[in-house]
Amino acid sequence: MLTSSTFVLGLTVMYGLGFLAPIVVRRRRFAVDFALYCGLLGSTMAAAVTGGIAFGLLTPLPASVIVRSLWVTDGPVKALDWEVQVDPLAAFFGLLISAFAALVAVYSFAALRADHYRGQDRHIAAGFNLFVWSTLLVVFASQGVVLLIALEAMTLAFGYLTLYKHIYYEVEGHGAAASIEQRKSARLAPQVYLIISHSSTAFLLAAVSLLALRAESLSFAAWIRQSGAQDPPVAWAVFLLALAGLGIRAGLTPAHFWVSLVHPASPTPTHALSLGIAIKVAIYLMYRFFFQFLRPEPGWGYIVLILAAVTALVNVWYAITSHDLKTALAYHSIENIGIIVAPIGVAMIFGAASEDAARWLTCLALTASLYHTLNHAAFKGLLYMATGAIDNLTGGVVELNRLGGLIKLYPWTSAAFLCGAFAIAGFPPWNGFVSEWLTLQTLLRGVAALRAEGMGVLTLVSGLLMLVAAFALTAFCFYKLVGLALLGLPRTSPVERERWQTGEVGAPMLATMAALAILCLLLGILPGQVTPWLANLAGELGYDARLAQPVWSGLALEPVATQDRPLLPIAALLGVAAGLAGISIALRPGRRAHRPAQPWNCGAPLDATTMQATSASLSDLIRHLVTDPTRPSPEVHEYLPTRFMLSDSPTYPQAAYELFREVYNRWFGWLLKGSEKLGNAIQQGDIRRYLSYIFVASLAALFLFLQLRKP
Amino acid sequence: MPELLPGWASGLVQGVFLMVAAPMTPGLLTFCAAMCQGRRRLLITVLQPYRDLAQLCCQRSVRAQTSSWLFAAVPTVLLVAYGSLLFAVPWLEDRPLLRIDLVTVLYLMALARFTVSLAGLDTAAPFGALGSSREMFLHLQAELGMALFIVAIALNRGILDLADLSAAQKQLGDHLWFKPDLVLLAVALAAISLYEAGRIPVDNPTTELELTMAHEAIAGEYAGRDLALIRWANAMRLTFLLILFTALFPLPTRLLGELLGRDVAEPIRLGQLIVLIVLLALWEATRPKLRLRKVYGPLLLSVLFSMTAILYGLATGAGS
Repeated sequence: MLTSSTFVLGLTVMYGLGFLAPIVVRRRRFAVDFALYCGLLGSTMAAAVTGGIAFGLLTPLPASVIVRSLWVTDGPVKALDWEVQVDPLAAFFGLLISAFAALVAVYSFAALRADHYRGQDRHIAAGFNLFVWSTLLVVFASQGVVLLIALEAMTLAFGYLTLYKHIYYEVEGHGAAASIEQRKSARLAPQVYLIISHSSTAFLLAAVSLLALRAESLSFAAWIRQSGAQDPPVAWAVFLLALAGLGIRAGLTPAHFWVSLVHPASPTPTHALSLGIAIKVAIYLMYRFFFQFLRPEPGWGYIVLILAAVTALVNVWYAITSHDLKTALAYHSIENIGIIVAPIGVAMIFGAASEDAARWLTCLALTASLYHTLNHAAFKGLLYMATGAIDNLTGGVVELNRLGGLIKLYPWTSAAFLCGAFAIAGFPPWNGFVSEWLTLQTLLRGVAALRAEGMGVLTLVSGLLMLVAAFALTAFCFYKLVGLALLGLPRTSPVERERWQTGEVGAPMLATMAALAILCLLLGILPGQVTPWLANLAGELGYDARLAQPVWSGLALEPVATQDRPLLPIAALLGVAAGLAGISIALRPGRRAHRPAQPWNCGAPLDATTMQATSASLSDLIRHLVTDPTRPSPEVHEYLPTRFMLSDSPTYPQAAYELFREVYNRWFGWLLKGSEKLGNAIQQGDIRRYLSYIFVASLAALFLFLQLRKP
Repeated sequence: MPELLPGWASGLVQGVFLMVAAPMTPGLLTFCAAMCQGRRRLLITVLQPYRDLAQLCCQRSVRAQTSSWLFAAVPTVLLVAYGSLLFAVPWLEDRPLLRIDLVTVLYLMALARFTVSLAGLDTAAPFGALGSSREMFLHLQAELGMALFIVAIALNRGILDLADLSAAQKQLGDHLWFKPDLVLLAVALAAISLYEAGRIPVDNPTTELELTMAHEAIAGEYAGRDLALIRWANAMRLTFLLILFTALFPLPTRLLGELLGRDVAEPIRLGQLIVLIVLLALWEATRPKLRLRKVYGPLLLSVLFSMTAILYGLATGAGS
């Protein structure tokens, strides 16, 4: 019988086998393949069950106990039973995670055979299984302790995976080819990740504790029952703690700087997984915390909206100023997190009101947010897989100033990357357009609805402008990435290009990329099939889903009664587009009617390595909107201990000034120096001082004992 | 015209008519520019773009060997994007074929610009890269200004759908020009349409020399039928923007009708287009060329006016 605990136990068995096999079994290729098969099978099982629940084919699995506590305490929290559940919202996120993990597993069969994974493919396969299992456990958790344990397991699993680059450089000795800067980043990545993730878990622990104390139980059901009954200071405290913890984990500004550092250090297959999915876990928890465990308040909504909009803008800026594919994609992931969280903010602004109009807007906002989550998983997965394919094909080169002309060398991978680029930039008919359109509709209708409140309107307007700027800059950034990496001619000499492969990537990788590309197109062309389902999920959070359906079709044969709902005639647009495309194809020159020629370069021969556009030159105009063109590049501050610092890169003088890395450096530097001084003061080396410590401690213990012995 | 055909057919006819008539807009612009510059004024100049397109269609198109299938596909994408816009704008027919809203308009124009900028990079030649990075830079400013304009419209009128919005503006009639915030928004839209139409005074839009190009650099590698399609698509873009302005801010017809003593609503809607083109030509003829990094003037104007319209609307408890 399928209960949530048997389901989770089954998944644990599958992923556990996948985790143990590469560690225990001796034959490397068999162990890695077995681990990936276990991961694939487990993910498919999870995807089947969660897909059934999410689409309504199976009934949701209620909370059931997976580990029963051994005793019952006398304190405010009575029992520590570990519970898991699979309700529709958890099923949606579980479906995203497991379907994605299944695709990555298929992709990894070919990807992990590359040379640069030879020494560590066991560890990567084991880490992959652990990571996916822990992520699924976070989503299925129904009790505070399970949640925290699963978050910790996720942190450790991903920390394990971020060791890859460092081991590759230092232990296996490939570090000679990399710059000092890259080796330092690789060494710092696991450390920074663990610090950041643990601080986020610390905030969540505080929030969980507050909720548990109030509700006298650790299970989610009790928290949901208690959600209305909190006095404002406690509610604000829980909100701020949860926002801090989840914001750090999701990468909201000012905690965004770790993502671009940490993710390139992990191997490419799991890089795809982590940025496409692990960040979604924070979004899932935001839904739970802000709409189920607490009653949303307008003030919170404004804070979340502005934070999300600023995140989107700041990170797309860093993406524009970065010079390689992986860093740019990492920054874009956080930018999309900002785009996902912004409608959550709008939903919180209108969520507490009781008028129909406000609740309708809340549901629309939540639908927009969920749609963008789904879209982000699809197109970001596609982009990462395409980038990983490029990484494999070019022997590790992902810097934009060394790529070029890939569309002619590797047509299918380039087509996949192009599809992902159009999707993420938000152009019709891909899926990005639908979710960005929904987000903008939500914000615009919010502005119209809040007509009376000046500050509210101005906050929404500024959030909206930042988001539109982020959308426009995303299009620019992908114009740059596609133009430099795929189009034109290769920017390196033929000697350096000897490591580039001549054929395409293997069939499994191509198949997964094609599947995701088709999914992106389908999600963009058929939103009418997706929105009712997502609106029902939003209804799970307590809002009426039926009101929030946008009108998707309509050739306007007669005036469509929209009842004031947003209208987007996708079918009509596609029809007109098809007609016009037909006209233009009929008018275009035939196959032999064009004359091939050299590109015009003022009559001079075109030297591909020196005369083409570079990454800095394309983004020059936009970067100089903000920075001063004449200012020299930022320097590393010498007075801070540099062993643990994240330093600016000296090899790219056109890089952006990372404000929050600087903040982290100073804060961490102050902490280190302070603790060094304190440690030096305490451990001075004189044994008489140590004896005096023992004496003072004994006196204090005696005093305390005498105090506590009083009746 | 609206009563002669069933619902969707009249929208279709209007769209096709606009597509076919679109090249007359740059022709008329050239004629007015000739008038301002003291050149020979021949009325046949209005039809010259058709002759140019026909001549281009007879030439063989040239494709660089360094370019790919993207280069060949871009003219189609441009035609689809800008042509769809022409089917969506209400002009003489109140119910166009496509009922889309301002946000979708923004995205369709962004799609066209994005694709044509990619085409500029496709040939590996540096001029294309130069032109396309400038194009994307100007497009960024255009999108910001247009977004603020859309926000102001949402706050002020509460309607985003093009057809509904145009009907609501027409219902206001002449009172439109007595409302300060709507006048401000009209000027804002005019300013931002300059960016969208590619008529910012940075370069000479009629030139084909390397050093005087910003926008034309992207299409510099195209020739023959590809170039004809791109030129036609650009003409469609200009026509769309002019008609958008006409639809959203129609001239005060009742006032003019009282002055002239007859009902001038229909001819005014036809003639407003010509009036706008004449104004645009006059504006272009009297502007000096700007440095690229100082081009933000119209954007600033548009942003300030939209912001003022928003604040005015908030202060007076806006909108109907």
